[in-house]
Amino acid sequence: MTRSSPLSHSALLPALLAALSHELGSPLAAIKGAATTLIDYRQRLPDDRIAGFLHSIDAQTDQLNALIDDLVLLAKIEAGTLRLQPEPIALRTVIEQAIDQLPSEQRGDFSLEGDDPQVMADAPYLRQALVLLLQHLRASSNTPTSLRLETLTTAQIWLSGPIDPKPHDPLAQVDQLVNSTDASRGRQAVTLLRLALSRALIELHGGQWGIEQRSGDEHALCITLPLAHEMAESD
Amino acid sequence: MAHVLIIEDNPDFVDFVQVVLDLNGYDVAHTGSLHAGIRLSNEMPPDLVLLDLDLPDGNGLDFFDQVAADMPVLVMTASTDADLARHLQALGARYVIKPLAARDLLDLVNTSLKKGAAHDSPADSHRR
Repeated sequence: MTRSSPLSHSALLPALLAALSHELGSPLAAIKGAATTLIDYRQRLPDDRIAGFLHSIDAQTDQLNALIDDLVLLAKIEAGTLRLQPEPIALRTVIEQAIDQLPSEQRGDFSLEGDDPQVMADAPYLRQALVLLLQHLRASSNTPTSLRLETLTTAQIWLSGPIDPKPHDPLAQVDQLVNSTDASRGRQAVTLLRLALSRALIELHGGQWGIEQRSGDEHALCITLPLAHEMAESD
Repeated sequence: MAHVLIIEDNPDFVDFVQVVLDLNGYDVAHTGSLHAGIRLSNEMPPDLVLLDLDLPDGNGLDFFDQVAADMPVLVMTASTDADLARHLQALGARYVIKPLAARDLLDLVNTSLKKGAAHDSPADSHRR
């Protein structure tokens, strides 16, 4: 299954890429600095300093690798070469797997309840979409988020908690990035990149992404996905 | 002993700069905040400021408006943006693109301090 990229429909992409240069360069600078310091000064450094530089190389490489993975995924979506292989899967299982992929200290921030609908999806890519979304929510706030599954004519995932509606609007994202002038621009770009990728993957699955205002400033995010039996009937 | 102030928010990059300069006899101080960097630079002007531009509390370019015009500054940026390069040249700021190796960092600091000392002479007292 291939579809046109949801990212192409906005001016988000150039703004994102321009803002990401710092986030790519910063870990690279630390890695190069640590490695060349070890090459030139290892004999004069105490063991704990050497270990510190090696840990720095390890951690910054992971950070860089994660960002490169995201950019490769973005390139595949943009090029239209991402090929989904949908099959009937239990949505609850995929969400549980996505929560399990988070660092252990973050898993407790997410609770899951409700139905267990069967959806038509490519499990690895749907899981990746959910991991990116949960990472975004965790980066935005430490407040717990509850996920509720409902089965209507589509499968619905309702996320309630610290949902900020602004970043979910692509035009607002562009404005934010273009108007930011400090380092938060780069970090903001990473957050928005992951949110945009998550949304793009959901939409490539034939799903929809919507924000619903609850009482006052409270918002809920609703992700809908086609049910497996509905897709089978439409085929 | 020359006093170098690092204004940079990536702790791993700071470790690298600090160790290399420490081992080569420099007196090094560090802050990850633009505003703290401006305050420290005005309170006790260092011999050289190593300045990152993408700081959590502001754009490092604002540093130039708030410190003495003849303060020696070496901008260290990961950006290869041509407009930024032109802007830095217009400011008369020396700059280097990250990443850079330990020996290159040391060469740049040594060179910048020599140039800064030359700028301190009465015949050439304005960097901008």
